[in-house]
Amino acid sequence: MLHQGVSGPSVRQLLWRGIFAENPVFRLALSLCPAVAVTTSVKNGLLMGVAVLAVQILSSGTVACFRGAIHDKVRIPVYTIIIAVWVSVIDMCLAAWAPVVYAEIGLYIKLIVAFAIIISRCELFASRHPLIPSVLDGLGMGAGFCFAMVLIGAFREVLGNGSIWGVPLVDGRPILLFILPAGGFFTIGLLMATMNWIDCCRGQKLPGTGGGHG
Amino acid sequence: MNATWRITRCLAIVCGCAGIVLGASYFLTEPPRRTNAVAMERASVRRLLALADNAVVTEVRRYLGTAADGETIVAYLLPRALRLFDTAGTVRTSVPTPATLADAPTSARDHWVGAQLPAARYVGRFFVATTPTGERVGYVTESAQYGFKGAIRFFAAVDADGRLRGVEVIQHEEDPGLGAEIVRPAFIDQFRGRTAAALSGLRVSKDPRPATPPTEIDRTPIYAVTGATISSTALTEGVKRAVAHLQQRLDILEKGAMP
Repeated sequence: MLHQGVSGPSVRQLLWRGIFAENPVFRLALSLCPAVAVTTSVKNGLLMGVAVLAVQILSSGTVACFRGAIHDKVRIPVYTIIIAVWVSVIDMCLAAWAPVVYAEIGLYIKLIVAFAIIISRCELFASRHPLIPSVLDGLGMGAGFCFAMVLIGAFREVLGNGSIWGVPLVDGRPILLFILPAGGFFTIGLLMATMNWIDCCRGQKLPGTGGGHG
Repeated sequence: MNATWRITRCLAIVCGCAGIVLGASYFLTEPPRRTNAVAMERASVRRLLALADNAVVTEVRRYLGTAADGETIVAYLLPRALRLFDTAGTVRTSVPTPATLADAPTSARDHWVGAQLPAARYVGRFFVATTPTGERVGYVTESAQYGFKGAIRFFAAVDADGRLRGVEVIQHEEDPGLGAEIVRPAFIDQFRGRTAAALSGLRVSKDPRPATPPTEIDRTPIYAVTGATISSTALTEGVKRAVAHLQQRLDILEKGAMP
């Protein structure tokens, strides 16, 4: 197993791994469905990414705290309940105390319950590590997801809509295909290939498996 | 047996804790959420009709119930009276509204109507905006239509001349990036300025939207959001229905004189 060992990975490793080496979208290819559906603009991508980041940290932290008490045979349903509770609590709190923010990101929050990346980090990391490393791992993975969403959103918005963050760069829509669902798949494929190319240039071997998902 | 018991106990404890956390959050967040929702709805009504600060907005709530003789009754709660109509639209009775109900919360008003009309249930509402001197400015009706994933709840505003002043989506669960784009001005402003009477012939077009603004707005279709035809059509049909119903209801109420 990749993440076992008494000392565990360092803080820097924990954070960096989620952002590049084991990026949830470009490396682990998890949660691609929302990544395609939501990222028609930078703003959409960023809001979704921030929402996932918050739920990931809270869920990983909770699972790490109670990892001794959760019965092994029912751990997946228990993780799902923990994630669903955090999503609902965040949803309710935002609606009550931050109505302006909620109007913008309320839709994204509800989608998170079904995100593979969150339950995957609970199962593969938080269930075997103490609180602090689990929270850092959640932070790294959440930040990696957010980074990927912003990158895909920027790529699609510039090519598909000719604008960035809603500010028009050129007249009209250069390649409309990129904001349609099919363009989402092309974008992720192209960006994934770029990541691999960067890795090759840096003389690294391409990962055959990643994050225990192999 | 022992293992089964342990699994059951573990799941029961987790679900119990989850229930307590959710219940506590709901208890804490529901009152401020409701206050926010009411404030946002009021702001929407004022924005849609571009009301002056001193304009008066009155909420008219509609109920369905059954009279003692078994006939279905439609009741409208107006500021001065609760008017009861039969399904043909003729006035049955009118009960004066107590003055204490004017600023009472919604639940208190629904409760009072329940006491006047057995088994009355709230089915919808609209707002009437007037100037301080009592001149009618316009109406905002609330309605909902099933979209791609769930109900799209919206306000549609019609001014006193029978023109659509605008539509605003209050709540929806459409997909971000696709169906959710119907709330954007680029789509929803297409309703503004249409004649309410001409709405029945309105259709949704999947063609690209022409760059030049329409010359004859009542004969221009609604151009659907790319990739979200179902959501676009749902909102358009919902608006058509809501405005038609609003006019029927106003006609019924005019017979018994409005607020």
